[in-house]
Order: sequence, then structure tokens, then C-alpha cells
Amino acid sequence: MATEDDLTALRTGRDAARRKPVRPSRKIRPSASGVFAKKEIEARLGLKVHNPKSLVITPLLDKKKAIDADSVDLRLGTCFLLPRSLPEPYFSPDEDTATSLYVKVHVPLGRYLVVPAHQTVLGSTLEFIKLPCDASGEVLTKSSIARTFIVVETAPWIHPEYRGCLTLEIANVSNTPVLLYPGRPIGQLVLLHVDREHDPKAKIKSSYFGPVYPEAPPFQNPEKDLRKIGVPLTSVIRKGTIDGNGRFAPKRDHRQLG
Amino acid sequence: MGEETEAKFDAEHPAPALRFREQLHRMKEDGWWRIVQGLSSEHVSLVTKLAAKTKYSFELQEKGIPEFIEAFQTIIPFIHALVIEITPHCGTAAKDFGRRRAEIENCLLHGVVPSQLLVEGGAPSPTPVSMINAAYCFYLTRLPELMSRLEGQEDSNLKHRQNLIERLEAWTMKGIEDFQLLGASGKNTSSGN
Repeated sequence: MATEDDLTALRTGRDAARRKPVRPSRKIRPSASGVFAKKEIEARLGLKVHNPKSLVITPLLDKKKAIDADSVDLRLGTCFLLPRSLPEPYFSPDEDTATSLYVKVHVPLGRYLVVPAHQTVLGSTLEFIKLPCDASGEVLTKSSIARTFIVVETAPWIHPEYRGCLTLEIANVSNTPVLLYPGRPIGQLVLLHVDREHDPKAKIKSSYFGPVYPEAPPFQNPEKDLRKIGVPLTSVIRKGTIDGNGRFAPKRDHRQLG
Repeated sequence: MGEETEAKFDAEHPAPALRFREQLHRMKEDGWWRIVQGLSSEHVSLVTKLAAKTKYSFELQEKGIPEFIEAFQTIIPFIHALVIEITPHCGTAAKDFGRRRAEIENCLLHGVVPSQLLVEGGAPSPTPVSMINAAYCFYLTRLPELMSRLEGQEDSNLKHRQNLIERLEAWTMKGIEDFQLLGASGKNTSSGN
């Protein structure tokens, strides 16, 4: 168990400085902390893939320019999920989301995708990434891209040992349609140390395991999610269509209605 | 496949035994057989067995098919020479596969696209031919091993297997796309197609 003194000794702030210096016990070993620098990124990239501390970023084009002092540039991939106009006047995240909400589009290198004003699309990085067991990652919009009112936003955190191309929520927050060219740099990956060891017996989470295209979220139906926390009855809207005579034809749906 | 159909030419197809014999001959010539004959696969024993057959029967005797086949076999070496002329890189494909297979499979086992393998500090890409063949070998022999590393995945569950097979295909396709990109940007020294 860590003692208060142990934790205090690990602090670097002013409060700790005022107290009598205490040597950290052997139970807590201060690890490397902070952001990975260029030297460490390169060293991790040089480790073999079976090493839990290895970092994989492939293909790393223009390596000299791609690796900055404390980050790695990421390029835009060629596949996108565009929001579909739904027949219903609402959207409910459920098991149909993957097939109902998106249109999959492939834009080859050398072509462009038009993102209308105030719209968001899902893209992915061109690079396939595997994070080390002792590092988390954060994806930031490249400053030059952000200055064109394009924002890579909202879910930028990557857990240790994640592998796959990163799904990017790309928002055009300007008043003008913007062209996106696959293959151009769009984001930066910043790696941060995490004080954890690789557990060889631990299994890898299979959701979002190794995607190479942007992926729709694997939602369950809301009543199923909420039943797990003891909610017995959940209101849902029946999906269906209204024909020319104003009659409602329900879509296949066996869900419990509230 | 019955004993009789193995060596029989029907109205639309040559006898499977002849096709396998030609395949084995080609693989030996191109250096592939030396590499794949040790695989624990039923296909290896099937190829060996069928290639040993030399007598065929013909469904359409009266149309001179046997003579046609005989004539065709005499020109196969010339066709092969022309194919080699337009695909010279295939000559080194077997060698690259033999050298890189273990590394490619290791990448796949760790859920990583095998487009840039790290060998002694350098990072030449394996050729698409090597990636496709190694991925197929991995599919045949090591998919359960990969599934055992993942949470909630059972080898006996058809949906789980299907999902992972699709992943495997996607990683291989991505590897091939990356190879083209790395080649175009001058980062690749391997020859490929």
C-alpha cells in the first residue's frame, strides 16, 4: 500500500517542497512521466512487434518530417462514413446504428471529399497504429488544418495497447464547404506515459480491435443497456414508415414498449 | 472427389489430376514447393497424390480432345516463358515469402498490419505476394491462436470467426495498399507487383 508520505514524495508541486523531503518507499517506483520525446518515439518504433512496449505506426511516410519533437503527424485515410438522411425525424443510438446512420465512401488518393459547411464526417488515419502497453495517446488537430476551420474533435483519447487506424470525427465548422484530400497530414499523435506493466495473461478487448476503416459504434438497444442497471421498462419509438394512405407500417421490431 | 473423376476430362474442365500436376511442376520450378511442402495442410498431400497420376480418361473422345491436350502441353513452357518475361518480380516471390512469412504471421498474431516489418533496424516491406500467402497460411493454421488472445472470442463461434477473418483480410489489403504507397514515396526497396 502506498503511504501518504510516498505520494507526497512523488509530488513535484510547492506543497511537497515545503515539507521535509521523504524518500519514496520501494513499493512505489516513480516511472518516466510526461510526453514521449522524439528520441523515445523512435526507440519504441524500433522495437519488434511482439514487445509490449513497441510502438507501430505504418506506413510512416516522410519519417523525418513526420516525427516532431514530441508528436507524430498523422495523415487522412481514404475511407469515410458520411451521415445519412434518416427517414425518421430523430436518431436513436441502437443496434441499427451501424447500418442506418452512415453511408460508406471511398475517396482514392489524388481525389477529394467535399465536407459541407457545419457538417461532420467520420474519417480515419492513413496510418495503422499500435500503442505500447505503457502509453496513452491523444490525437490533436494539426494547427494548420485547424486554421481552415476543420476540427478533428470529441474523442481523441487512445488507450494503451490499442491497435488499428484511428477513427476521426472531422467537423467543418466554417460557413464554406471544405475539400479534404486523403493522404495529407490532418492530425498529430501525442504519446503520454502511463504507469502500468503489460499483463501477459490479460486478453485484448475485441471491440474496435484492429479497424482499418472508420467504424460505426457498436451500440446495443437502449432497453438492453438500461436493464443491466436495473431499469425494467424503457420507452422506445417504433421504427417504421407511413404509406400514402397515412397508415403506419412498423419495421421489424420485437422490442418492449414503455 | 472420386478416383474416377480425379483423372477425367469432362466437357468443360480438364482433369483435376492434370491441373494439380501442372501446379506442382510450376511450384517446383518457381521455388515455391520447397517452401510449402512442409505445411501441415491437406492440400499438400492432395497435390502430391493427384500429381502422381499420369493416365487420364476423356468424356468426349470423339472430338480429338486427348490430342489437343497433348499439343497444349507441348506449348506450356513457351507460355510460361512469356509470363515470366512480363512478371519478372515473381521470380523472387517465393524467396521473399520464405524469408518473411514468420514475421508477417507474427504481426497478424498481434493484430498489426504487416506493411512495415522491422528487420535489424531497417524497415523494408514484404511483397504483396508474401503478405497474401502468409495471411492465408495464418488463416489456415493460427486463427484460433489469435482468437484466444481476445476478450469474449470463441473459436467455435461462427460469427466471431467470420468477424476476425474479415479483419485478417482487411489487414492484408491495407498491407498491400501501404506497400504501393511506400513504393511510390521511395521508401520501399522490395520488388513486388
